[in-house]
Amino acid sequence: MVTNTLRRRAAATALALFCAGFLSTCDFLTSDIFPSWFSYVEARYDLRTEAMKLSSSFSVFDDYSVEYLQPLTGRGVVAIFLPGSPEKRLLLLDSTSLKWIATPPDNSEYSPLLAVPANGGEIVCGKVSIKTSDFSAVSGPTTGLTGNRQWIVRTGPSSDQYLIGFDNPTNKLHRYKYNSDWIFVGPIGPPPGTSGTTWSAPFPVVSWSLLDAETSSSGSGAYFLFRNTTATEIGYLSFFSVSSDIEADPRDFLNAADQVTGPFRVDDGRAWITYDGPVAYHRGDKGPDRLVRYKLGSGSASASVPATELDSIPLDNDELRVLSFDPSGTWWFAYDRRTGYLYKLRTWWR
Amino acid sequence: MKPSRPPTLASMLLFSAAFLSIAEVGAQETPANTELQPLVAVVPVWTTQDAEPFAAPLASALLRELAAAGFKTEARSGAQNDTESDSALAAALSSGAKARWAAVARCEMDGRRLVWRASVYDALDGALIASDSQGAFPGLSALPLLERSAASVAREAWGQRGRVIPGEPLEYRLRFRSRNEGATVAFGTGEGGREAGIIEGGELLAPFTAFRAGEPVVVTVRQEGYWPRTSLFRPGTEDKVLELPRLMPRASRMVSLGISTTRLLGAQAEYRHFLSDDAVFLRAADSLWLQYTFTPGSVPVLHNEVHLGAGAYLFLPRDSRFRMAVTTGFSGIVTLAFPGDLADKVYFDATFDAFSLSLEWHTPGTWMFFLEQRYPYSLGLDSGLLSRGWVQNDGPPMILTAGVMRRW
Repeated sequence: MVTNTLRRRAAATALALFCAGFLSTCDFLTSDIFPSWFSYVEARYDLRTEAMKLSSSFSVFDDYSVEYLQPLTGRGVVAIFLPGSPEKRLLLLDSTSLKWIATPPDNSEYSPLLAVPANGGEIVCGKVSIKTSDFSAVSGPTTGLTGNRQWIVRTGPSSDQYLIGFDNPTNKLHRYKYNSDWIFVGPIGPPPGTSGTTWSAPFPVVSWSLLDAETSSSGSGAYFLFRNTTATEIGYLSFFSVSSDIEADPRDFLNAADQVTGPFRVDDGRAWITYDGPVAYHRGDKGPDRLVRYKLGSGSASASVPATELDSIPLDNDELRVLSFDPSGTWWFAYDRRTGYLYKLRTWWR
Repeated sequence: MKPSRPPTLASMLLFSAAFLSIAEVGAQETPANTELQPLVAVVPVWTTQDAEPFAAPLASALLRELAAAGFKTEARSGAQNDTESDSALAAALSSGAKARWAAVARCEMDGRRLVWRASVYDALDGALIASDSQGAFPGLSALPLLERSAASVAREAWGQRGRVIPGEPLEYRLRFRSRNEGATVAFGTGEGGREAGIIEGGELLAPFTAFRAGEPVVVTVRQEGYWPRTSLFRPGTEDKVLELPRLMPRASRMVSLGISTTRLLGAQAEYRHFLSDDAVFLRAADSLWLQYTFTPGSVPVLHNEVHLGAGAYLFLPRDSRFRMAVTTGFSGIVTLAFPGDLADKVYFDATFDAFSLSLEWHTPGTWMFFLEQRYPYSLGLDSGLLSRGWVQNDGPPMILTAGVMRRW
């Protein structure tokens, strides 16, 4: 009798242990000891090793500027800006296989501005415009460059384009207008450029910064991804169907926008624009960190009605640093700080 | 056993007076067993007036020693009695006091010599369960001897406090039923066991043995390839077939098939080779699984883990149903990725299982069940995908594997 009781208790204990272990895993069906993002990998590049070949000073970075750039004509590239001192290098990889294709000569005018200009067959890195056919350098933007992260918004093929920057202390979004040949044609107001920016209710009026800016999928509109830190860290995505609408000085980039998405949670200032909805990084309090995509146009100005979450994936590896998203929503790029590899990954909704 | 204090002569004499002031013992019917209280009734008895001064001290010593041993006690009045036996007195005493036990402190003179006997009887069946008899010169020098007798009897009686009434002799031959055809059945254990026969046709009719109803019968079953098993039966007066539990097979090899919490799109197979049957083993396991997140952009990644290690069962007997094994070992994990543009398609990780715990439910049949917890530590090889440290997933840093085992 005592033996039977012990047996029953032992079996119950084993069952309880099993259930506890089983239920303690939230996504137990897809949980794996290997990083879940690895199933999205399309290609990778040994960035740390290659960067060290250029200069040992590049090896200390883990926050490289990486952009998927598809010029209006010609081959696409993945551009990597290596912000060494004094060396500043640009690595160009094949956009499909991430194989090295070119390392344009060192140029002190390189900056974290990596963009596709209005001229076909070119990409821009800082003040340098590079032809993707032979990777020769030609003149790029000359006015408004800060050396910090900046963006380009186009109005159409071979049409005017805007160099976009943001001044955090004054909460102003700078717009420097160029024609397609990088001839500075703006600003409408006095130099250094159109910068009048207003913020008004129902949105917060202070503590703004710009996380990303992209030309829309039509090629003539513009997206701006703002971060606000008045209370908690939240993001808003504004959309102008006509890029030139941002010339107005001053301009309210939320109330005057054709569409606003947000607010949505943003952690560590990490969010990106895709045409399928903005993607934001969520730091996990108890579970893993996540990348969350939001529905375009969802939410309201009120923080109590946030944007709608469409989907998300866990980032179950602290060593992985998400660098950028291809605005078309096809690819994203991340750097594994442990191994030094740059990964090109498929998005989880396409 | 609590140490007894030496009594003083005054206290003994006072106690004697108390005894003498109480009414005489009378003969009564023995009450039903269920009415008996768990206490000892103590009575002094003397056969001649010369012995009377010593009967009360002996009874007093008995009361004290029995109480010190752990009994509840009750003093009863004594009397001169040279006709009734101690057992008859005890029966009457138990009946009157409804006491499970009765202690008789009898003193008498044998010429110029004092003779005493301290006895304890169990009213369940009237059995004498403790007794001590001595003689001495009738003086103060006899008192320590009386104390020693009382202490001895109290110790002996305490050792018999759990006894039960012996059952009636069995008038039939024990019959056993077993699913272990050909197993040898013996009464008793080890070399001293007496063979009862061999299971044939699932049954055995044992030779007649003088067992008593309700008394424990130890039966040992042995068979080649199985662990011997000893069982305890208490056959009653009714002739019933006794079911022998199935023997647990001895295992020198074992295979298993399981599925793991972090590898649900796959399976694990394992082989164990026992260095000592059902005790110490070497193990080799292979896990093959697909990593897939069930989202549009996800492409399955194939992982294969080869694990080599050793383990041992702990704590419980080798024929236990429930068993616990601890293991340790190393693993190599090969990962195969399929995207065409990915230059490096093969990766290799190595992990060390410092400690794994396997909870197993063994059955006498073919299949058994197990639940294993592993805590792998990744070595963080450059060729692999895992960082150095305890492997992580959405839940706790462990891998739970459940499955079935088969051994032979």
